Amino acid sequence: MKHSFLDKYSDLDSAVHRIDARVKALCALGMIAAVVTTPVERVLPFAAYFAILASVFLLSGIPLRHILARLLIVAPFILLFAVIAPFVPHYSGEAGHRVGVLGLRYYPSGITMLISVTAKAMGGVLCIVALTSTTPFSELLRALERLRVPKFFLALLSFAYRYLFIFIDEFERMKRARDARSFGGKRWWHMQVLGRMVGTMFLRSFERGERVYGAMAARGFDGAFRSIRPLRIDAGDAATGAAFAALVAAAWLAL
Amino acid sequence: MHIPDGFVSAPINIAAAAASVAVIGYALKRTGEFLDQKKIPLLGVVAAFVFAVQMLNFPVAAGTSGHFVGAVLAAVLLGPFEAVLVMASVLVLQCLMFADGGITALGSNIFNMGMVGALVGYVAFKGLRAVLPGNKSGMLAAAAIAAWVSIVASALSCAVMLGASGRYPLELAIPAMTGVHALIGIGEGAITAAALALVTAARPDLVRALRRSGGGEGEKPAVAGAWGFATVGLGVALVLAATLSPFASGDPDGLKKTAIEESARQIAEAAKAELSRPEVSRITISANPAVAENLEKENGAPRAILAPAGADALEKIKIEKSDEMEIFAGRIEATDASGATRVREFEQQGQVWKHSPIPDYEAGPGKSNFIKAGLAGLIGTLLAFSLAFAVVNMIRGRKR
Repeated sequence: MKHSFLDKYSDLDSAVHRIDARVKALCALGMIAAVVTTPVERVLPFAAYFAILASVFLLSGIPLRHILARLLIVAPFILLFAVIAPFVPHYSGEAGHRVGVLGLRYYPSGITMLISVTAKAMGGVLCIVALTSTTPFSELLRALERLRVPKFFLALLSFAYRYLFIFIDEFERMKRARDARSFGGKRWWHMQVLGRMVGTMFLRSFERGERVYGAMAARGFDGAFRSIRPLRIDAGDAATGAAFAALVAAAWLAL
Repeated sequence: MHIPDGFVSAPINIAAAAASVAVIGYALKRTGEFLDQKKIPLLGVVAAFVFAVQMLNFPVAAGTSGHFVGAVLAAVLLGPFEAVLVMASVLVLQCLMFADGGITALGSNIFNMGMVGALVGYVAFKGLRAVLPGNKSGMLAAAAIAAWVSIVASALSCAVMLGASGRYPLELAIPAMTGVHALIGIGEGAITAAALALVTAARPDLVRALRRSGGGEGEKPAVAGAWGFATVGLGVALVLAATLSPFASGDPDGLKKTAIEESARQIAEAAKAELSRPEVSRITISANPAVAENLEKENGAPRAILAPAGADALEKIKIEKSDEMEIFAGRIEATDASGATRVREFEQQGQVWKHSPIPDYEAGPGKSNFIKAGLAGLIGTLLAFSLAFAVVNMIRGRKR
């Protein structure tokens, strides 16, 4: 079971990792809000955001490779957008320049829009990576619980997270078994095999869910979730959070 | 289909998030009320299953591949609102763990793939069940078609969000997204049917659809009748919406016009404020052509705002049309007697609507709006039906 790729590097030890999860969650949310609401025309705030994120990553010791790999996720959206954006007017009354092909017109505001949207999408991803790569998922869930996210939903998330690894492993095993029998499953008429794999997986997950509940009920599960490790915000955490918020706010307002 | 941060405008994100929170809240309450805590581990484990299975790629035409989503499978096996919960947790996990889909776009993503995916798919499934034969193959066919509908509806909703945010032109986004997903949907349908066939064979007791209509419950005919009626109604409404809404749309440019007027009004207000300072000797307004035209209008609101300042005050104002005004609606330069200049810039108002997919003075009259209005009608109808479905279910749930 080697699926630590989900919240990989969250078990490292660094100044960033040691900050209370609630502080980090709020900082990340605040920063994403700032990134997304920064007006399209402004460039400097984005430079500041990326500088802040870069210093967080430097402090946390997360490898650059990992960060870049996560950034690739937004690539399809941005590439498609990059093809279209220059030819779409983003402000009414914009004149645009004739390109001469297919009656297309080129609008300079499209480029501004492209840069801004790319920066926003990447900023969002980097904030999420910074949060989840420095906070173990279980702690993040407890932080969210304190931040008043419904417990039932968090319980659902924590179960899903716990069994994810097992199911991914099982599914990989099943695929390996299929491939070993040289079936391939590479053509559309092999869909039925895929469907049966999914069906089998569902049955296993469903029955496992029932067993898990049975085991929990036998150990006195009453619907409440308890934890022995208390969350604690010390003065340093609070100061760090406040400083971070001030930096982001300054970038948004002043630049 | 996972939308990153920054692609969908704030109002749409907020509306979608509000809708998602409302439905999830309702689903949580319902699951908590009607079922015991047994559902928590069960739904959690099934969410893990959906997450794992979403890593399953299958081939689509032309060398691309799609992945299985599973919203309809979950809805058929667990129930529509349970499926919404499962899909929502999967999306939250993907957002947090893979940064797949932005946090601010989470509401929109849950709306598209969770709510539209599961609820529209389930409505389609129930409707098709009432129409198709009640036996096992009828159910599998209904599930397959519903899975296809669910994927296409999600893609459509996603395309509309991106288009309405002014990121992609709607005429491009809708055919591109629905076209690709119409292909991916075939795979989804086939896998859903095959998976359901296996579950039905192994554990028929788990399949809600079979259990519900499987006799014993006296209300069966009434329920089936209601679903048949709903399906026919939905079909008629969809046809009407697609064919009639293009004619129903009055002034497609109305919103854009409002945006220009609003910008002109703001600039006029600011110019008036500058005029009230006695030391100002000259005001130059540069505005993009559309806004400048509106400012110069004899009977327009901007004139009405500026008029009380008196004719000699108006002499001080000079309005220039500026093609350079692309990002800003306009700029005011107020020059003092001493020569000092104060500059204020105004952003274009009505950000969501400011963008027109094809500049109206170039495209053939009404052509693009025709398609758009038809699609808007379709989507509106689908959403309205999902909403009605949710409300009816809520009432039925209360009665029980």
